[in-house]
Amino acid sequence: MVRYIIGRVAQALLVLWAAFTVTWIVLYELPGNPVQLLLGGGLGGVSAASPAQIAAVKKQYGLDKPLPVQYLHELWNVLHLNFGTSISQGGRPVSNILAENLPPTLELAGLAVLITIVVAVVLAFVATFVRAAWLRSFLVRLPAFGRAFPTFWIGMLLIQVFSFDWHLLPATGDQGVDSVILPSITMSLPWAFYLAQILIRGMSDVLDEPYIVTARARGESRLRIHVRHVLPNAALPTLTMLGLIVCWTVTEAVIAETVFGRPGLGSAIQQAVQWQDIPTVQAVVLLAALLFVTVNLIVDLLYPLLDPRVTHVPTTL
Amino acid sequence: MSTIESDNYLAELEPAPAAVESRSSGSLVSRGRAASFLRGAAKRPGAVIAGVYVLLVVVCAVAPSLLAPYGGNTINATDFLKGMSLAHPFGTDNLGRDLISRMIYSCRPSVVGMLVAVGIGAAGGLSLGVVSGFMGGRVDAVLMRAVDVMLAIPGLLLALAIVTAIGFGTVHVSIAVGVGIIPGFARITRAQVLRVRNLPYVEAARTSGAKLSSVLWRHVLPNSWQPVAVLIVLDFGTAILAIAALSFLGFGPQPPSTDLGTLVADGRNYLETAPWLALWPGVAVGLLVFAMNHLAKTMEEVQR
Repeated sequence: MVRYIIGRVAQALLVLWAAFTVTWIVLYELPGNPVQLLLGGGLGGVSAASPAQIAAVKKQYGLDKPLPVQYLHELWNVLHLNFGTSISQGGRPVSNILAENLPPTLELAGLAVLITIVVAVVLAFVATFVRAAWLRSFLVRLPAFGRAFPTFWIGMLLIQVFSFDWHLLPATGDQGVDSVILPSITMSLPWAFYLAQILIRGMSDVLDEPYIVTARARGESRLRIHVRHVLPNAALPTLTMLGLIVCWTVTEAVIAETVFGRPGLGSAIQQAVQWQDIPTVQAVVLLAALLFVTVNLIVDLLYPLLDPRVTHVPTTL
Repeated sequence: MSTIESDNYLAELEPAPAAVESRSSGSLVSRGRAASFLRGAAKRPGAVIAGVYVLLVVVCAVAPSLLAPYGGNTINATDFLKGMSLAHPFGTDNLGRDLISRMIYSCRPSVVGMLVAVGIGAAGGLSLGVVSGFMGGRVDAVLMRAVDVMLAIPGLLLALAIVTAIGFGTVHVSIAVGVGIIPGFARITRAQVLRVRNLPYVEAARTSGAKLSSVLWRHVLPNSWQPVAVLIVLDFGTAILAIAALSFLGFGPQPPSTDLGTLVADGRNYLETAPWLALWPGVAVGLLVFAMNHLAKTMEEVQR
C-alpha cells in the first residue's frame, strides 16, 4: 500500500514537471522573439522599447543566459510561485491575477462537475431502465447528438431561451446565485453527455451479467436491481474519469466565461492570449495541470478503498 | 496509408507474373467490394445522409460560388438584420450580408483547418505510435510517458499556449489543435502495432530477414490502419469543434475572412435582435460533427 501511494505521488510530480517543461518550450522557446512579446509588442508589432528595457526584461526572465540556465531559472521561479508580471493587466504580478480569478472559476466548475454527474447518471439510468423502445433509442442517441454541438453555441441558445425569451435568468455578469446557473449548465452539458455515453455502455454490459439474472430469479424488482446492482457496478470504473472531467470542466470555463462575460481564470487566459501575455498563459495552464494531477491523485488513492482488487496488482504501478 | 500504394510497391518488387496475378485478383476484389459497399449503404440510410452532408460541406469549401446565392461579403445596405425569407433563407446580418452565403464561404477555412489539424495529428501520432509499439523497451516507455504528459494538459489550454506563441489565424489555430490530437493517435496506433507485431506472419517476415522498414510498411501498417482510420474520421469532428471554439474566442481567421466559429461569435452581439445569426452557423457545425461521428461509428461496425 505504501509503495502504491509513493508510486502515485511520484508519478503526479513527474507529470507536473513535464507539464512545466512543455509549457516552457512552447511559450519561451517557440516564439522567435519572446522578449518582444514580453514587452507587449505583439508578434508582428514594432516595439518601441529601448535597449535598456529589453535588457531589463531579459534579465527578469533570465533570457540573457544559455538555454539550460534559462530553463532552471524559470523552473526555480515557478516553484516559488513567481510567475512574473502580466502584460495584459498592466504589469501586475501574475500570482495576484491567479489568486483573484481562481475563486469564481472554482465556484463555477464545482457546480458544473456536480451538474455533469447528476445529468449523466439520471440520463443513463433512465435510458437503460425504460421499456418503451422509442424512448430508449432516443435517450441512447441523445448524448452523441448533444456532444456534436459547440459549447459556446449551446450557451448562447440557453441565453436566448432563458434570458431573452422567458426572462428567468440573467444573460451575463456575476451578480448572485442566478448568474452561475446558466454558465455552469453550459460547461457541464458536453461532459455530461460524454459521461452518460460511457455509463449507458457500462450499464448495458452489467445488465448481461449472470448476477443480474440471479437477482431477477430471486424476485427482486427491476428498479431495485437497477439501483442496487447495475448503477454501482457500472459507476465504479467511471470514477477514474473524474479527474478528466474536472480538468475538462476547467477548460470549458474558458468558453463559458467568455460567453457569459464572467470574471475568472477562463476569461483571464482568453484575454492573456489576445495580448500574447506569456507569463499569464503559462501560469493558468500550469494551474489547470496541477488541478488535473491533484484530482487524479486523490481518485487513485481512494480507488483501492472502494475496489480492493486494485492494490493486488502492483504491476499496474 | 492507402493499400493502393503498397500494392504498387509489391508490383515493383515481385516478378512480373505474380504482379499480373495479384493485379487481376485485386480488381476482382475491388469490384466485389464496390457491390458490397452499395449493399451496405442501402442498409444504412443514416450513414448515407451523413456522407452526403459532409460531401456538401466539402463542395462548399472547394467551390463556394457554385452554391452561394450571393457573395460572402456582399453588403446590402437596405436589407440589414432581416429574418428568414425566400430571398435570404437564413436571414441577413447587420450589414445586410446574406447569412447562408456567408456560411457557404466560411466552409473553406473550417475544412482547411480540419484537414491541417487532423493531418498533423495523424502524421505525428502514427509515427510515434508505430515507432513506440515496434521498438518496445525503453523507447516505448519514454515515448508513452511523453504522451501521458501531453494528455495531462487539457487540449484547449495547450492549444491556447501554442497560439500565444505562434500567432492567430486558421492555420496557426489548426496546428495548435493538431498537436493536441497527436497523443490519442499515438496510443491507438501503438495498441494496434502491438497487436500485429507478434502475429505469425510478421515474425515470419522478420525471421526470413526482411528489413525492419519493409516489415513496418508492408505488414504492420496495412494490418493496423483500420481503427486508426476510424479515429481519423472521429477526430475530424473533434478538430472542427476545437477550431470553432478557438475561432469563437477570437484567435481564428481575422476579419474580413470568417469560418463557421467566427460567424457564431459575430452573431453573439445580435442575440436579442437577430438570434438566427448565431443559430444557423452553430447548427451547421453541430451537424457536421454529428455526421463525422456517425460515419466513424458506421466504419467501426462495418470493420467488425
